[in-house]
Amino acid sequence: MSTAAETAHPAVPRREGRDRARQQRRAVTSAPWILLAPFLALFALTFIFPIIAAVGSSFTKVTRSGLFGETGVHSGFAGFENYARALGDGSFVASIGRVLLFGMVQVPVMIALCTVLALLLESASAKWPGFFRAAYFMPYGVPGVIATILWSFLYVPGLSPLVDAAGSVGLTVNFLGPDTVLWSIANIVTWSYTGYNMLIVIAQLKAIPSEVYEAARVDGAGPFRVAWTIQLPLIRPALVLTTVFSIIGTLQLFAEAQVLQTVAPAVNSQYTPNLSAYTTAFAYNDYNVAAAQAVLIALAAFILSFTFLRFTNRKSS
Amino acid sequence: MDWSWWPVTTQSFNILSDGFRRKASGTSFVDTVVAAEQQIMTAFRNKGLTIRKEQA
Repeated sequence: MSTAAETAHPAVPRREGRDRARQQRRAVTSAPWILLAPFLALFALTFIFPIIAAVGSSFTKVTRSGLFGETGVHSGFAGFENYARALGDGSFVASIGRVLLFGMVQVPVMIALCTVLALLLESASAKWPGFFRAAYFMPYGVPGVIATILWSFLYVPGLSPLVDAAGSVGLTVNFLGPDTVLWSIANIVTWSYTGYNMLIVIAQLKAIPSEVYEAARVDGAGPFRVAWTIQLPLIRPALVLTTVFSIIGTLQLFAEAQVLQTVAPAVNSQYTPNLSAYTTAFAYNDYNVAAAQAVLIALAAFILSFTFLRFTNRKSS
Repeated sequence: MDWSWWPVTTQSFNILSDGFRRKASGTSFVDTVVAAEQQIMTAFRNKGLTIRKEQA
């Protein structure tokens, strides 16, 4: 009698149920995206977009027509023209070579120095470790520009007591000459960042459990033996981290060279890669070539850090 | 209109200044001026402008 109605009726709730389940499934899959949206939007806008904009700008060529560009400004795809111009600029290539030389000398010196300071301050016989830790770290709080002005008082002949003292014993020193100014900058950078790197190493040293030291002492290990076979291998991750940061920092040299320009004739407007990109962008208005230079600097930092990490990983395995 | 008056003024000053700074490592001022002329002309052409060297 009512078989048709009975069979038709349960079908409606079944379809409704299926719809609801589908809706629920859709809600479950979209909920994380809705919740992630604010983060993703900010991440894309502040992180991904600037990189894409810089890379895009490095492949763009702007052509102006008319005497003052009044008949139109046209931008188009430039291919690798901007990169060719950046790499064809002898001063820019020279600046990369200069910071590579700087890094090869300054980074190992600074890392060795910060490791020695950290080991000394963490040794049992250290006097006033808290005071010296703060004292060594203090230069990190001095901005690069101020540090350079401060040091230039010790570099400039006529102002510097160091130059005068050397002169009184018959030595002629020129901290700002064409061959020496790079090492004068290295001295400022080492002064500024050794304490900071030392703190990272100290943090890792403090994480070594005391049982290891006790076991070493029971075995009759002296302080040098403890430093060499226990502390140095265990602070390896901190040393790798500080070295990578220092390599990246070397390629970012800017303020020291720019400030020393006013007192050192040997520092030109393209002394470091960053200074070169800055000059190209804001003195020459060649924003696209400057973008190409910036991308090249970032690539160099990436390749150098990656090579160093690969090298240290291979050595440890 | 994003066009600066006398497009390579700053660049010309920088080219001359960077060249004169090389005096410290032995390059003479006269050589610098000769080299700067070429570099400034290249800078003009890179900006898409035309420039020619006047014959004395």
